[in-house]
Amino acid sequence: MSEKACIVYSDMLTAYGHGPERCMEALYAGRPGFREITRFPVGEDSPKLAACFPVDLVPDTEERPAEKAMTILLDRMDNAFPLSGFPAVFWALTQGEISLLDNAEKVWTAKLLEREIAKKFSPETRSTIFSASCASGNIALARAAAEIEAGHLDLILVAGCDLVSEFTFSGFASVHAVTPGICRPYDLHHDGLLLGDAAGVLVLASEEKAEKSGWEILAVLEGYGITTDAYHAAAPDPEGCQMARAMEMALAGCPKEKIGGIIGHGTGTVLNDDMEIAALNKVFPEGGLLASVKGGTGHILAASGLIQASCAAEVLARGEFFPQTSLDTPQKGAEKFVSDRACPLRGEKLLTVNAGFGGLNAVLRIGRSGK
Amino acid sequence: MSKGKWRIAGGILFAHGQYRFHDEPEWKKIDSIPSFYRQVLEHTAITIRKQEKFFRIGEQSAIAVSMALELLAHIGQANASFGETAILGYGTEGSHTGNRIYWQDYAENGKVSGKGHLFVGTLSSTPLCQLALILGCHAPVYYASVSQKSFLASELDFLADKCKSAFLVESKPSSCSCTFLCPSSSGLSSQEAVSSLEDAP
Repeated sequence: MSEKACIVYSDMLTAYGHGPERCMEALYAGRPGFREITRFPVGEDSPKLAACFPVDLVPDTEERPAEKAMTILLDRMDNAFPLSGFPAVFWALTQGEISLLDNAEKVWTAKLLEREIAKKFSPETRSTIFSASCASGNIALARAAAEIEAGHLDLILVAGCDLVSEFTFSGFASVHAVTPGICRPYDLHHDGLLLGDAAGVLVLASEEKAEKSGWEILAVLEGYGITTDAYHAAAPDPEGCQMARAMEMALAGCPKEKIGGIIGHGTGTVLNDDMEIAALNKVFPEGGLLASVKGGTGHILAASGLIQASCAAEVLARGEFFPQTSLDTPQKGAEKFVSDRACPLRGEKLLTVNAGFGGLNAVLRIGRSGK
Repeated sequence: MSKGKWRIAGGILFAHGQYRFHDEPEWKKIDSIPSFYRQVLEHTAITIRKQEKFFRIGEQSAIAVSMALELLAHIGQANASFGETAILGYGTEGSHTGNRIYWQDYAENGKVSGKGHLFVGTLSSTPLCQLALILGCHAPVYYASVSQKSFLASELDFLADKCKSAFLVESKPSSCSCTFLCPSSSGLSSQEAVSSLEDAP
């Protein structure tokens, strides 16, 4: 019998500040976290909003903002979960410390961040960066769960970070993905994403390790599905066929009626949201509860999966699903999924969805107890 | 996730404008990647599932895709079905080269607007996704940067029951190593398979 992959600790830094509670409080209130970008110059005709960290946590002048954000989280965690005790760290990263792109060593900026943070861990700690565009977070979590379920490891730190930078901001603008207005996931008038800062950490442990150590089990990562569209280099399959397959894989062995809600990828772009809604209508023709955190946190790229998993644990604890921030009128096909009001959970498990450039799909099933 | 067993169907190395297969000692010179790609398509019967705008995908992706196709032709798998093929990228270089290319172009053009196709090249997973696109792969595709190469064995164990074949691709700015493996109950362990990989020079 395989081990359960239990989430025993989670923490995050978002535009709302430090901790999942602040983030959830804002999401339940439907309050977006966007403000004018001050970290780098923005052209007059450019969109001006992003969900950046509060400057008292990570100042705009910080030379290594990703390292700063991760250090805040890891220093806090070190009290309860000493960093020297982790046999493995799984990273979800795309660009890492992108402000150091022109580093003298010509090292990939994700590697730079990992290498710097690795100094906090034991030299024996196994470190792996999982990089799969905006699906990196869920893939890193799925990999961690698989290692624990197989009994190969009993404790893994999953960490991730992606920040708003001129690099990513100009890049997403270049593919016409940024809205000039408000980010409205799953809304009839959705027309693009807004970027956000986020760093997240989750500690996954086997049930045996958690019980022996006296750690509270916040949630259990029960299932996952990973698929690839093979449709287009930068656009998802509009039919959402492979996303639907990833959802079905994550559901394996679990009746759909037990799914109390779905934390969608929901970037606010037409291409992403339409694909997700198409997939959801295939898998859940009766409808369900759906919301994306990105209407509040902005698109947090590789950190998405981690922040969503932390939010999932909070949602399961509260028994109430958060509303979709900035929702006015649901887009076609989403009427039976999204709401601008918090609703009681319809089941005791959640799906959390990631979709990345290149058609990478990763879906997790997270439950309260794993039963 | 059980311990995987693998049969290595073949491998190919590319470096400094030349390539060789793992089972052949001699290096073969190529004129350019675009012309080599056209040549590969001509001399094989590979069915391209989605013909992308190949020459806009960036040189690193182009090398990885060309080498993978040439390898498939060499091992007689050009017309196999790749729907259940996984693609695992590995190495330490990530998207550094693609990042530099995008940013340099953006900066040289007055930081007014970036070029979308160059931005797509700023992801470590892009060369892998391009290969998936061309072959029609629907199994997991991701890039893993490990602190020790032996840790890749865990990735192979993970993929063993999720695919019918897998590409392992180490893509560097001017070199590439590409290996094609199939799960096989009588094959090498994942650790042995990783040990036998030839590094991109």
